[in-house]
Amino acid sequence: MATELRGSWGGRARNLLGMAVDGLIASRWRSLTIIASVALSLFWVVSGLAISQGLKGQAQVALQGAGDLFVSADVFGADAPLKGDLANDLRRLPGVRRVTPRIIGRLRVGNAWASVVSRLVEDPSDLASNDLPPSGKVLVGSALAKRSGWKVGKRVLLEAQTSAVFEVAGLFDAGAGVGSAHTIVMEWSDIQRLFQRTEFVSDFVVDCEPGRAARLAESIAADRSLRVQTKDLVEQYLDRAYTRRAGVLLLVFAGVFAIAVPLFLLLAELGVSPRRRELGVLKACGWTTGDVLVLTLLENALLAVLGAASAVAVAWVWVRVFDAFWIRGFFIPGSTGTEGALTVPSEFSGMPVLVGGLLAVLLTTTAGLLSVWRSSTVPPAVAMQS
Amino acid sequence: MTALRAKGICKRFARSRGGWFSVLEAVACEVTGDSLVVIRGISGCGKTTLLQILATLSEPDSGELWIDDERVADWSAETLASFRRLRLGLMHQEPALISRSTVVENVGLALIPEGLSRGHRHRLAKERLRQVGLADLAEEVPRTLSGGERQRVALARALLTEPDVIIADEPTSQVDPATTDLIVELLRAERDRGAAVLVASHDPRIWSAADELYELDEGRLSPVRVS
Repeated sequence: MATELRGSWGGRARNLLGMAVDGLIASRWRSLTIIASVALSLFWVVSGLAISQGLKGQAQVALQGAGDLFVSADVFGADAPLKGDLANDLRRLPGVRRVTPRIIGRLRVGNAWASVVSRLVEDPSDLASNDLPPSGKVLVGSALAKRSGWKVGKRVLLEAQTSAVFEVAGLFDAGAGVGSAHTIVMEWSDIQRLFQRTEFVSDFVVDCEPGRAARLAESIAADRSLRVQTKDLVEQYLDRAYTRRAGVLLLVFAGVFAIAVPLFLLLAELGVSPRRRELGVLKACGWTTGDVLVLTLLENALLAVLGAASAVAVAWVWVRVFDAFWIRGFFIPGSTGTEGALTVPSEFSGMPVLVGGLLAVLLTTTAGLLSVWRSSTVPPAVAMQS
Repeated sequence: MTALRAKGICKRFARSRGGWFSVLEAVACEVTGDSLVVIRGISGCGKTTLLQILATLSEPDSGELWIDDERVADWSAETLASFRRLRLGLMHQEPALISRSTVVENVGLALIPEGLSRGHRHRLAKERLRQVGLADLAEEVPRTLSGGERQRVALARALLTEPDVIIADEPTSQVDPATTDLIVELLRAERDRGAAVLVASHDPRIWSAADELYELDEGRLSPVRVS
């Protein structure tokens, strides 16, 4: 009889997987509890990572359309305003094609901050000048407009160093980028008056001839003690900032998850005695410690994969359908999280999202393995007495 | 023909208020193929402890267990597991069924790590369930069964692989007289097939089926003359 009862290693693995699946179906409420717990723990971090990746991508795209160098004053290591007539000196440098002064300010609109930006367009034939409104009018980010109840044609009072009434000439599309969602764009002389910056500007955007940016950056920074950032450098800052943010998010998540998952499993088991007794029965029936561990590993891995997949699905719906309602407040500067009309950029295929999912699978899979190993190494008679 | 031999088996347990009490003292016994050996004794005398040691589920404090000419303590974990899967049929005092698995899966548990397909396992398990009169309950889960039915499921599992050694602890404690007759009949049939059958029981109908009857009293095992 015994010889006809010998199967294959493949059959053994298939049987253990089948038993794990059967076990999860049989204990469906326990399984659903664990899957829901994993999904709830993971979805916010997946959402955060996806938004972070989306913001990074959007910032990189925006950077590509900007100039080659960004020049500001350096006061004790911090950015500071600089004199506007410095633009003429910069224009004279060999290799410089265009210098665009910018003023970027912040003011309160209701109970939140909004950015106000403008730039000086020297050549009216420049196509890029079309994105600035005429004097007395402003373009407003759609999220800000929605939050403040502003519509096209409405006259609004803006207060900074001085105050003035402007007419809302248009709204930015919510999908144009989160940077624009809480921004007000106005004509150059208007922003100068509003912030009383007639002599000073926030920075200069410098367009260079091809291949000249690095050398120009060196000479500007050396000769004039200015802070100069190349496009590559800004890109590196962006990359580092978003990668660090994703790393911190993953680290916090790993810590919380490492504590939470064993707790879920423990709660879902409603005590370890029945499981310990079950392991004793399996060992008495001739299962090895390895078989028992593989079974537990498979059960936990299936729960983890289903939990992680559910988390990604919930995060996708939350971010793409509900615009990351509430949680976007944690990731997008200026967003309260509850205002409408804000299309949140997101990227679900990025490495951090993958790492988050894998981390969840790893932690859930290995959680509880120690207690199972301890139960499976005691004599079956002892385990069965539990 | 398989022979199960125990030599000098001792086992003691710690008392909750300190100190020790001895359950088995230098127990020796031998169960060979073709024989049905029954152990009797009052409740708490150590029958279950002895059977668990003989079934390799628990280790003695001292003494040796031999299967044929091999000392069990020398076996690897895999050899021990393989013995339990294929050569040992075990019926616990409590049926010891997995509550979330069906009856047929419970009967075929030992063959899951053996790698047999589900169809093959279920076919063998259903044959055994037919022998104990439970073929109709194959797809039920244990909680829907009576105590006697669970006992018979445990017997079907013990008979699954036509094992060389069958160890049954109080197999008739929860069953009606008709089922007791069926169980006695099946144990005798296994003995006639050549298996070494060892049973612990309070039931005189089991005693009467024994080829050898032992009494366990104050940790010592002594033969009782079978009339």
